[in-house]
Amino acid sequence: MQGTLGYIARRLALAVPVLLAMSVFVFAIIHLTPGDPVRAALGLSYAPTAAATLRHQMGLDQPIVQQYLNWLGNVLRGNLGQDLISHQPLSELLSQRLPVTLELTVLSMGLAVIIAVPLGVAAARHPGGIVDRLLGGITLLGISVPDFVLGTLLILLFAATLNWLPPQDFVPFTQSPSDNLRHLLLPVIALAMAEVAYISQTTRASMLETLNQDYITFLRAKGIPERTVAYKHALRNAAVPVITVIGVQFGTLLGGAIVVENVFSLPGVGKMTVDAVSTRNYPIVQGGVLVIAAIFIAVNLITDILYGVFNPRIREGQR
Amino acid sequence: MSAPATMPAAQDSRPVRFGLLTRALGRNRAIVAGLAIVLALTLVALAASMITPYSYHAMSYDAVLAGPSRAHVFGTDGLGRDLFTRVVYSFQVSLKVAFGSVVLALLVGIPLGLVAGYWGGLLDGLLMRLIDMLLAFPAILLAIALITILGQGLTVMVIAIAVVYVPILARVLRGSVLDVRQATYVEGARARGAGHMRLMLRHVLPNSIGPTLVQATLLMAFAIQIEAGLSFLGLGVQPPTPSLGYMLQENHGYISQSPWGSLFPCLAIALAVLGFNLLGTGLRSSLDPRGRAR
Repeated sequence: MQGTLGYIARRLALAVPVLLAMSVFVFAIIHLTPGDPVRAALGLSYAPTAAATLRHQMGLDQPIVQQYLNWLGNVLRGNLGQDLISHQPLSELLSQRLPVTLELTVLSMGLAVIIAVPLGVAAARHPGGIVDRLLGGITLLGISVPDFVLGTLLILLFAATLNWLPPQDFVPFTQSPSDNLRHLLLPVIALAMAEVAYISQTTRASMLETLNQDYITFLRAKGIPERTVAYKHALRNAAVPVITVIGVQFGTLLGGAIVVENVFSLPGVGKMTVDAVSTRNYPIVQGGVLVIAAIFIAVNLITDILYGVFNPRIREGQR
Repeated sequence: MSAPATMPAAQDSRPVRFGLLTRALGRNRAIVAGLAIVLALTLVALAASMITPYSYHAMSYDAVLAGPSRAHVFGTDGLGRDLFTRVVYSFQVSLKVAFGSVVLALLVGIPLGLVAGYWGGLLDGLLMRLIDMLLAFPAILLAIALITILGQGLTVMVIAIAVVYVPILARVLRGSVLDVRQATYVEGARARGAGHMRLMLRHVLPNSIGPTLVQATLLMAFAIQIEAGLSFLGLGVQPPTPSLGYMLQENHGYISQSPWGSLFPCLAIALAVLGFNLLGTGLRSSLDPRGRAR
């Protein structure tokens, strides 16, 4: 147990420099971009004296390291700056945008896992069988059709041609759960497809390895039904690589959500960030990048920790 | 994009094997099919002006959002431009970004991975931490951030994607260098008095580069996805230069009037990605000593 805690502590300590480096990079977005943020903030009401005052207020006349530390201090206190155009605090914007992105990604991952794990197990139980071949096709499709392309094709088929589902826009879950899910169905499928490919292939490979082990043969010899052997005994031991791939792919999903939100006009963090790039609303870009990267790092950290907890050999190896 | 997705193979070097994919097609058939698609697309892109009689920016108000016909095989877009022509010219951008970003990333990543794996120690530790930090961003997010800083355009896109790829390739190479540097033939060369430079370039590198080149092929597929994704977001090449992603964006508002305007660019992206994926997975299973694909 102490070993586990020590391992977790070491993983957490390793994440600190990564987070710091990420913060420097995000800070740099404003300071390396061409153009003067003061000029951008003042817009048409630009005047030299007002500019000097604002520059002082924004702390832009201080040394760059001091500016970074001020900014980092603010971020840690939850003050992420404000929208240059609407002057809305970014934390407020994020509280509206983040739930959309999280709902989209979590539902997509959920759907992918529900489809992929049974598919992978079934394919491993009968290699070369119908399910296994079907899985080959799904994999080919999943890795070759990018999520936003699949999204466009789904709109083309289900919204534009068949008129079954709304092509875009978003209804909050609290307003109408059924409408919310109807609007999210296509984007969730678009994002989940590639993950189905990765998770089911990993499940299949891991199950194949596990099903070949002696204790499985022993269970079979004892006369335990094949389904019980596969789902109850083998899957439990084959789960570690699957959990890892789910964690790693969650990051991929976050990246995919940035584009898919734009395909379906979903008001998430990704759409907010991309819209802000074209309007040069840099604090928003900064906030969006910061939040997505922080979630990404956190998910990877959790995956690493779970991996170590399930796999004592990894834990020992790191010592 | 799926860092983007998209972007699956790129985020991590923990192996995810598509043994099944290659098994279905047969090992060499996957390589042959992939190579055929890639070569065909390259030829089409290079010979664009000979293949199509139209120019990619010539508008025709007589034929706006037209379906496929004898005059316009894929139909026309909202400005009456020939869709087939625009798809063909778009491959130029896709392939420039795919080859450009991967070659640039190899030029930087190979020395880094080779040195880190060969020397180990502090240098290796520092490089690996740096790589962990770069891998702490989803690929498309890093690209968006870099585009915000550097501005838009083909070159910026190539650089942004290469920045994402350098750590991935360096890490793969470092891994195989670690395996190879203790091999008996390297020991033998060292015993014969070969210097470090000679050992690294003549003995270690040629024997450890395979997996890195396979990864590079798969990353080309991923680069095509990222380019299309960024262009879809309006962060890619500037109009009127045609790009598959931007074509999708332009047609997004007319999707019910003009399904062709979305369908053909979608198929073109999928075909290009599929070509590089088949080539990469085929090469990977032929390199795999365990012969896992059979």
